[in-house]
Amino acid sequence: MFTSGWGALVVALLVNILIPLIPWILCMRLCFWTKRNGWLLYLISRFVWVGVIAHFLFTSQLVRFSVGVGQYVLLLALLLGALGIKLFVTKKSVRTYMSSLAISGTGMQLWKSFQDLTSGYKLVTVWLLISILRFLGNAFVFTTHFPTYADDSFWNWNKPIVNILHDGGVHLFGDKEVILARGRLGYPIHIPMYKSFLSELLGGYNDIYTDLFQRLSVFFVICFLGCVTWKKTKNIFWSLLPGALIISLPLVFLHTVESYHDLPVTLYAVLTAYFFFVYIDENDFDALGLGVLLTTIMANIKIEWLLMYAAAVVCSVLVILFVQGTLYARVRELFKKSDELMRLGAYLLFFLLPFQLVRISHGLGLNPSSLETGEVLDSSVHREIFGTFKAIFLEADNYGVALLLLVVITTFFRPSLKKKEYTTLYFFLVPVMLFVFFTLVFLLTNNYQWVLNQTTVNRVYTMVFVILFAFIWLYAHDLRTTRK
Amino acid sequence: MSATKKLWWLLGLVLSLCVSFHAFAQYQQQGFTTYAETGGTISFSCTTQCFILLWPLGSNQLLALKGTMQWGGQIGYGFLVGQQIYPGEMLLANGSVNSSFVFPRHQLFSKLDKQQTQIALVVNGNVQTTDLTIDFWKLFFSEKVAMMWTDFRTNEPLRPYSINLRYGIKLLWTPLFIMMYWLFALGVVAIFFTNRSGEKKRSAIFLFACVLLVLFSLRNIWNRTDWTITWFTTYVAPETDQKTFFDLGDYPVFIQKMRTALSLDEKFWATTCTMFFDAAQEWPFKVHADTVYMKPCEPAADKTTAEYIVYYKKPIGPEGQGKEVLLDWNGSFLIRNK
Repeated sequence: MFTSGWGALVVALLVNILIPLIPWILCMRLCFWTKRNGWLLYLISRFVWVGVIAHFLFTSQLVRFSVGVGQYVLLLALLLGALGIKLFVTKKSVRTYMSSLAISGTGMQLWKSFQDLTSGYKLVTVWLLISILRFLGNAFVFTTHFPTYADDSFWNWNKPIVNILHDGGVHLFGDKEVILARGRLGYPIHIPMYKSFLSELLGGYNDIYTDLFQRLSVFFVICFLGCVTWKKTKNIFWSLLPGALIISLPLVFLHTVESYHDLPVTLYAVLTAYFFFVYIDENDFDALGLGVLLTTIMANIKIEWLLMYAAAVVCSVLVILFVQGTLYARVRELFKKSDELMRLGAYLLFFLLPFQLVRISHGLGLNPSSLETGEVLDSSVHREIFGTFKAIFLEADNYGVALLLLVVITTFFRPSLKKKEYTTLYFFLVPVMLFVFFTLVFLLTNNYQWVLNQTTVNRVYTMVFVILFAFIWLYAHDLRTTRK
Repeated sequence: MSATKKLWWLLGLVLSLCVSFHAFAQYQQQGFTTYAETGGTISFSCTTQCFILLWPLGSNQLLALKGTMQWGGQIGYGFLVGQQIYPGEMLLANGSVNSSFVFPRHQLFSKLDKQQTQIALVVNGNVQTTDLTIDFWKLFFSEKVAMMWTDFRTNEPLRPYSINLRYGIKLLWTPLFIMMYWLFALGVVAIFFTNRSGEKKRSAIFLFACVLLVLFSLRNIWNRTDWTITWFTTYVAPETDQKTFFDLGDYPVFIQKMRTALSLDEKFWATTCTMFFDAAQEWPFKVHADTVYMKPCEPAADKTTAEYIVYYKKPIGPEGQGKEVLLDWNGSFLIRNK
């Protein structure tokens, strides 16, 4: 259970990194972005693949009660078959799909960008790099021997994992005592299933290496943000800044090394927000497809996805398109492209419907609260939560840096407002919307208790800042003074 | 005797009585099996959760505890509001306690009614002492400076709730980042009075914020490094029997020994059994064992129906007497009941 050591670690890393590598070529190239940069595609494909395999493991329970390598191999075979058919139809070779991996010359460009910085920015850039490397190194060291420690991790996430392993799968129907791995019924079971699958490959439940999922997710998102920022700014300072800011939030470290899923769902929200941004900016339907796909995968990670994360991103998209005056035209264009519409519908049906059906069959509905059953809305509006906001933001340490940066961002936000850069405003709007939706949920449901005793409120509001920091570069990257 | 003198005598008598009552009055306390105060020294025996009511919030700023403890739980402070105690900081009471707490540095302070709140000493678990001394006082300026330095150097320990709350570094009562805001405000004012262009001023403000961020994150990194060093020196590096894991102590090692004794990892997929995990401190030890660590065994409703009984940091109870002891390690036992 607490087995660790270099041999087991290497196997765990291979399982977590290499297994998504092959399906990346199959899955992503089949569906998305043959014209896009390969590294970005690889980084994003890891998240898509985790979602796909976790969902496949879940849906396969509908026909066969087991979880593990068998289903994985079956999915791989299906994808291989689909790719073979596509290659045959389009008369292309596999080499075509590998060509965009090249990143030659990037190292030199990074060095040149560093040399171009003013001395002050050079110093800070070096520090940002050191702090990111140190964070990742620290998290990696914890990876090697650190068992689950946080209380919430046991009940919400590790209990389903051991039950799935012990039972050989998940009961989707039957008594409430046995369904969904006897876990929290409101919580999606997909990621625990994915972790059970990894445990099976590792030879049994491993209380240490199951958490590689979160740690690698943080690493990949930091790389992803660095890549997209580099692509936009060609400036090493701005490329490192988002990742460094995210890891500077005090709660993020424990969420990186612990078996908890608030941070993973936020990372999916970051990616979702980014692809919707590409859609707004470039009217790229591939990006819209990826945005919707990641939203639906996000639904299978944690219960808050719909009324908080997805709502915040989708509302922000709609508001920006509305103030741009392009909402009607975009919707009309989408409805004209029946194949795109069908693809989006397929994601929604394929990823959302199965778990929702199981929930509905057990009378759980769409309750966003952490309670397993019951009404969505509470009988009264809990205005008393506002009395604790001062303590939350000014006496706990989670937002010390965040609030300061918020002031600074707002300083840079003003020119965008003047120039009506709606796409930049969008990234400001997403975290604001998320904050609003979090607060509404706390106000109107029995989740208010988590504000009053400050148990979960700190971590959910921290996630607002994770999204804000992910896109901070957009607010200020046009500053010429970072260069000599 | 004049009326004025009588008044002074009366006042003196009342004050003396007050002092006497204060000197001889015992603290209000609750939950102890045995409790006695002798000349400023407290002896008690607590088996579950016990409280000593100390003083109203705001009347003192520092609580210092010193004494020898017998292992079994935690000691610290809480805030009594009405009938409810809100937990403050806690220490492991393993061997001895010689620590100070400065008030108020906790997450609940702003929501407490300062007029209605009292500080309480909280004891969790099976803790005995015969020589506990409690000191509390207001701080002089020099003490405040010394305490600020101590606060700055003191790292926030890793706790099972650390994914929800980080109190952060506070210098006496002020969070470090509040001081950072003041610095930032001063820096912004200074930048505005320079002869730079508007864009350069914006850039300078941003750069200054980044520098503050660097300084702030240095302290955070120091804290994380402290965790890593603690974790490595107390858990990773020592031999198996000497490993301790933060405030969980030898719990992970005992769990591993328990699982090995019952070969639970080998027959994870096949076996089902029942176990009752009894711990001196139910949370988090019993809770974590019941949810995850005893799998594939299921938690039994009581000791009589369980196939196995675990007494973690507890002597074997009457249900386990005369039964086969499968594991006897460091004050904890695994018993085959059936």
